Amino acid sequence: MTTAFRLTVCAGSFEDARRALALLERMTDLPLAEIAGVLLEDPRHAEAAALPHQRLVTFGGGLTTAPSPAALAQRAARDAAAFRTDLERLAAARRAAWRFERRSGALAAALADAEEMILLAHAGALRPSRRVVLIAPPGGAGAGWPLAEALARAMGGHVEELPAPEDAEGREALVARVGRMSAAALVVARSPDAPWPAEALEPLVEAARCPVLLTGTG
Amino acid sequence: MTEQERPAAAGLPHDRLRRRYDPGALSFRTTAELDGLAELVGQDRALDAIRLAASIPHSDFNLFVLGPQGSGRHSAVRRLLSQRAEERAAPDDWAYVNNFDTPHKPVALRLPAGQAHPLRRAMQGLVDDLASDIPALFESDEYQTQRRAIDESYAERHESAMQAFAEKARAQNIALLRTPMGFMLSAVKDGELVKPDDYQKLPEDEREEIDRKIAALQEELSEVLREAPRIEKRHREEVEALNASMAERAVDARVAEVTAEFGHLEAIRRFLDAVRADIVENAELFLKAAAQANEGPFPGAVRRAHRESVFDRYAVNVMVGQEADATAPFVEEALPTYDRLVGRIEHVSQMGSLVTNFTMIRPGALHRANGGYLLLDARRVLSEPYAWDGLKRCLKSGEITITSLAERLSLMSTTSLEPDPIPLDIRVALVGERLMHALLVAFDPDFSQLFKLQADFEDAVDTGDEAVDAFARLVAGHVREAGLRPLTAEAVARLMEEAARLAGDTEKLSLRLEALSDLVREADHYAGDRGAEETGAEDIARAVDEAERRAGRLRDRMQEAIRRGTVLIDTEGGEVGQVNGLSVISLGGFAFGRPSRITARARMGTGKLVDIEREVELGGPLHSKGVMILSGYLTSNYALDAPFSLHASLVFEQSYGGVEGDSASSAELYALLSALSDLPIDQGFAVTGSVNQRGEVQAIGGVNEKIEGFFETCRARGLTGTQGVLIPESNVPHLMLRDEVVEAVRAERFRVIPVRTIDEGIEILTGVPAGARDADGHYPEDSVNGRVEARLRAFAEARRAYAARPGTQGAER
Repeated sequence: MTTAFRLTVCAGSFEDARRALALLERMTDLPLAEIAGVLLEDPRHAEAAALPHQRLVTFGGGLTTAPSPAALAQRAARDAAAFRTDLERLAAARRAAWRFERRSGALAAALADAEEMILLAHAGALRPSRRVVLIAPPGGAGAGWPLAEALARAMGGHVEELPAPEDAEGREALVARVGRMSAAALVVARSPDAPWPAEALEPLVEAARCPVLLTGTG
Repeated sequence: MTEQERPAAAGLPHDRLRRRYDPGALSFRTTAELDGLAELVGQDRALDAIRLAASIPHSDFNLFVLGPQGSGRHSAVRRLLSQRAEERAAPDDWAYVNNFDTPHKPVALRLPAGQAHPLRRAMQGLVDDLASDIPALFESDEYQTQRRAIDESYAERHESAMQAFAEKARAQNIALLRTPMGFMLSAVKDGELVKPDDYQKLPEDEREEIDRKIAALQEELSEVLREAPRIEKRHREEVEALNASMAERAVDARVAEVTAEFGHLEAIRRFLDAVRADIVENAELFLKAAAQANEGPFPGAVRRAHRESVFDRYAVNVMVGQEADATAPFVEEALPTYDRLVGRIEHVSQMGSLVTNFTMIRPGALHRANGGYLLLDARRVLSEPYAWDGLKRCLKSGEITITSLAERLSLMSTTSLEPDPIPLDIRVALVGERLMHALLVAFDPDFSQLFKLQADFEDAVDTGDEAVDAFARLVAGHVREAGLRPLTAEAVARLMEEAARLAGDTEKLSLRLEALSDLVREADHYAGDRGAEETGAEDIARAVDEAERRAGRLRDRMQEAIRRGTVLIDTEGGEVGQVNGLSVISLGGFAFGRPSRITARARMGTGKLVDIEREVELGGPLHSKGVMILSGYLTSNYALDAPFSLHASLVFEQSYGGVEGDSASSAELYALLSALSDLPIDQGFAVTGSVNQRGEVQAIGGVNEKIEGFFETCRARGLTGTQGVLIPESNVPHLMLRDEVVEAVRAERFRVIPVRTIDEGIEILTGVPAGARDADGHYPEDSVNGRVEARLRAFAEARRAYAARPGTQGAER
């Protein structure tokens, strides 16, 4: 690949961001002109935490009291600082321009003003498979396929292509299927023929539970 | 009495002063006609002991070979033991292999002779083969497919559980929120999360319903997430099982090849089973090695995987490996340190620590000689720290246990090994001096238990036709082996005379082969100088003379001191209470005689015989004993009815070093008798011989050197024809004097006079009859004994009279 990309890495926590940046570090054949880092702070977390009798289920399965708004804010500040530091280091190593911001909102906020590529970071499963799933539009994956291959190479895996759904029912079935798959990463190749609006992407991203790379526009 | 008036004492005829070997009696012209002698001459006792040691099976019949240096001990024992070794079958091979259960206790493998190195190579080949087989198997489509299927199956289990949960929650209008710290659940209404304010506005039963659903879903989510590690564990186990089954396919095939070659041996079969199990369990070692190899400079096909340290665990460390057609070993260890005898465990430094493993065990001489023979120099073994102790320990226990000396001395505190001991079946031969053997017998209780045989090499052999023939053949073999010129019969005869001289006995030939060999080689050189094809008697004689000349600097300086009068020695005239004694000085292998003036003074006293040498601690115990014997002689021969009232002193004049031995005791007695009798002793004589209390003159050592020493002194001043040396008659068979002395005696310019008793000697020295007691028990008045007795009586009388004087009682001491 010779075209240098402008990429946005969007993460809800530093742990997610760290995995994403480590992945980019291994993708040495992906030329990057600019990397933007976005720490996405979902206000719904604070709202959910404020509900009475609310409990937090840790990633290890433990049940504990929900974090206070102050704890959430403190965590967000720490994650932002660490994300920024790692982003700067990666950009310097790749000789790319970089910028960082904190944004409040959900997936829609992440997609706003995004660069041509968006990496929705996710720490992934305990031991993910080495399968990179590519959802390609009918007209071809475009830049999606080489990017998926680059991801697969970085992860030591392979690419498995799934056709993009044509309707809502298809999207629902795709979400159910992706939710039951173990994927190292999901690549969604967007195009004007196969747009992926935020409301359609959100359940797919939630079901993937792995890093999602959005390419193209639409 | 003047010199002319003294009766001439008869001396030995010249033909009794040196045994001549007649070359005409030898059956050859040169030694080129003779076959060499296979064995040493005159050493049957020692050789039989060596042969017994070589063949007797009992483990405690080790051998100590003792005798003089240069007697051929080393070469004889080396030859006999190595010959015997060649007749015996090769012993088993031994190797150390890894103990997979307890790595610090390496396992000793006993293998039939010649199998250890092939097993080592087979294991190296096994590792090299598996280094390519295992990675290939794990890279195969078959494995990758199976592995991927397992991975995806387990991954999908967790993902499916999460997805099912998410769908279940969604169906109950509960949203699953993923936060940086974990998951939270929240109610959804009209597609939006219910905010806290909105929640409070809901009817109570609706709130309770929401709370109940969320609580149940939280518990369920908790269980789903806790299940993930269990799923992972099952996943890992299934992958390991897959890996093991794949590895087994590769390992079984290769191990079967090795088993086919060596599996008939139970110990090796057990070892191969352990190797197989370990490789299956640690197949990732081969995968990692392959990954590293791909980064290396050499392609996999060329790489020798067995050389990588990670595969040391499968190595075979050969301690003893016999070659084809080998026989029992004969080993001679020239530097018998503890490590080189018993073996050692090496260590390497890693990250500041000393580490080791079974591949760093190194064999010692005991390993190499196991099943055969080991030859050691006793002095060297005893000189090396802990070597003797280590050797004894192994012989007593019947096994070789390798322990680190540094660890034993607590000099090193680090992980070390406890290798299996190896059974020891060995015959050890120690070569050493007689004194060392005696000390070991006396002070080391283990020695007599472990070394029950001794091979005692003779210093000399009785001469006779058989011995002469054997000697000639011995010389013939030696010169042939050494590439020297053959010796003529005259040279052999001359050499035999020298051998007799070395033996110090006309009836014997010395077996100090090294000294004789030195002479022969030097003579060969002189023969070459004069362009001769054969070494002749003149070359032997020249070698003898040159050797003496080289070593004789001190002797010559001493004679010079006498000649110049720095050291006072009279060689003519008569002196009362003064006699020429003789001593021998030995420097390395060279000995020479020199005269010493011995003087005696006598007066009345309390019966004390003062040995001045003893008083100033220059006299050794043997010398002191000799002087004390003189008291016994005097008190038992003279004035028996009177108290012994003599005070006499004896001294070696101008002697400032130590004096030892009693060979001058007869000379001291002569001086004393001269002092008592007031009769002068002819200074043209020198005297040697020890004396007992009965007045019998006893044999001494170094008689040839002593005679030659005085002869040299007299010759330097000009022989008078009346000079000579008194020697014990029992020393006559030991006479092998140099030709110039023999020639002087033949020309009646010098004499060698044997005496049996003090009376005989004192007559010759004083020219006065010694005297014998008559029927009344009196000595003739003018005899030596008569005069001595009269003097002693006079002392006793004077002492009695002195004691009777008023005021003197009790004053004497």
